[in-house]
Amino acid sequence: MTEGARALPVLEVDNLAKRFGDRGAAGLKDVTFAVAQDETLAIVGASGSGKTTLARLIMRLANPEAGSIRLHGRDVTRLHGEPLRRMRPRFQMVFQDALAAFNPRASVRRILEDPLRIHGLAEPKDFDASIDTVLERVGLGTEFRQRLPLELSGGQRQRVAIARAILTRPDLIVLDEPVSALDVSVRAQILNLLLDLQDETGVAYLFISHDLAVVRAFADRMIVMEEGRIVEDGTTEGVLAAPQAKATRILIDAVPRLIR
Amino acid sequence: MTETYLRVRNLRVNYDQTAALHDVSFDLARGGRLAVIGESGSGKSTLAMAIAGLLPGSARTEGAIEFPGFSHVPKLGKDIGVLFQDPSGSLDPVMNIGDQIAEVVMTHEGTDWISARVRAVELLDRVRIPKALSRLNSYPHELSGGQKQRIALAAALAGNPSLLIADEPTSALDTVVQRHIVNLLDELVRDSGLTLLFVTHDIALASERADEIAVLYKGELVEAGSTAKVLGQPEHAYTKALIGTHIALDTPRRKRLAEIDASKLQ
Repeated sequence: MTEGARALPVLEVDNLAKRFGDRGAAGLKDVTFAVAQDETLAIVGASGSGKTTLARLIMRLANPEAGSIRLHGRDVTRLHGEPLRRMRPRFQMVFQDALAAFNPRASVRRILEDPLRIHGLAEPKDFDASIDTVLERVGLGTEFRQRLPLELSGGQRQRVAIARAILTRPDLIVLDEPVSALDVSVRAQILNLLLDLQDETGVAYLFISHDLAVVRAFADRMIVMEEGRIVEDGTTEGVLAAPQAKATRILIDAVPRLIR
Repeated sequence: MTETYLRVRNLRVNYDQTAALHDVSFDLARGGRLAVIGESGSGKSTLAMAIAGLLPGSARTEGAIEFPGFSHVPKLGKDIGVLFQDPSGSLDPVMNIGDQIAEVVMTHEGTDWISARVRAVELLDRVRIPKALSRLNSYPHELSGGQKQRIALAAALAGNPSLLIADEPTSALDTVVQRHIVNLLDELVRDSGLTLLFVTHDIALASERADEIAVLYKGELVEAGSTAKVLGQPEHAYTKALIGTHIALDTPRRKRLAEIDASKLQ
């Protein structure tokens, strides 16, 4: 990440607040941070710290009580209907459980065609070409077009989820525990794919995780959340080398150490 | 000499035409803690379930699973306790947790309902459920994932088993809750002299908690031995690759993460 890139925030979140008690979800208080182009910001915290609530607000799947969310300087906090729909291609999300995120009866082709059609990103005659290109890009052959989600391995499903996310050429992808359910060898492949895509496109990532070792390997900066507040932030290296908040130290202590 | 608790010889398990385990042999000493490591499809859960006697009817098994210290076939629930990855799947959603644990006690200890409920409170205390008595009438949905796993552990221990089989008991939990459950499991195993077989994909977790490690790859036991030996001087390419993919908190950040190149493993 360069100083130039830092000057160009893709996402700015200011004093975001959400009350507790919304279907049992964690609330948020005074959450402020920014993510620049080409940057990966990790959001870490224990269960119930507000990570997922934050992701839902940024994706505009829920409304905050106070504060603002800006994408490339544009306030999207109160955007609804058609204006919000027009902004949707700019920010995408990849979930932990791709199986739950896909229509189980839709083929891979259908899953990838939807965003192209809905957002008018290609002419219908070019759908197949676009789908083949993106499948190729995420390391899946065109033979995957007719597969159903249940016919894919966990890693393959996550590749399809990434393909769907990058189809709209987003500025920001929220990655909610994208590798937590995967085997270690598959985990490395998916994270490497995401790193490559960032190299190519400069997409910003908001990486939600409770696994600090993965955060260490993947993210430039991190914020630590506890009970809906940011209790620590900084470069990943800096925070992990000299944690200030108790919540951070608890998370660090919880990481299993390989003893050889 | 340590007493052999479990002896597995030439174990093969097939599902229809697919071989899930090929010719697996190993011993587990009484009071030993064995970690079975592998990825999806390695056969690690099949191995655990074969030992627990919980394989589906469609599975065809050859070879021997022996418990030399037993004069009878060990009974599930009584001699062998099992803990699964998803506690929501092992707990009955419409039965309160007191009854779920008491039922196991009554089945295996032949006690009456009152004594079984008293024992359930003791067990909830043991797994550190705060205010155990007031929790007896709670239902699983009222509890967090970590608490549910504690309840499942209490139920697994209710018959006073000598072997605990834990299949990825903390994989669905966040790292902080995982740490608490693993510490608890470790303490209970040591205190009661339980023999432990736990299945995990996390080599670091295994290194912290196991005396012995067995590495499964595509249904084959590719390496087994003391934790220090398997992790300190790994012999099989897969074990080495698995160690290579481990990310530690002080791993220097690189452009890419280490992957396992399957073509180099055969």
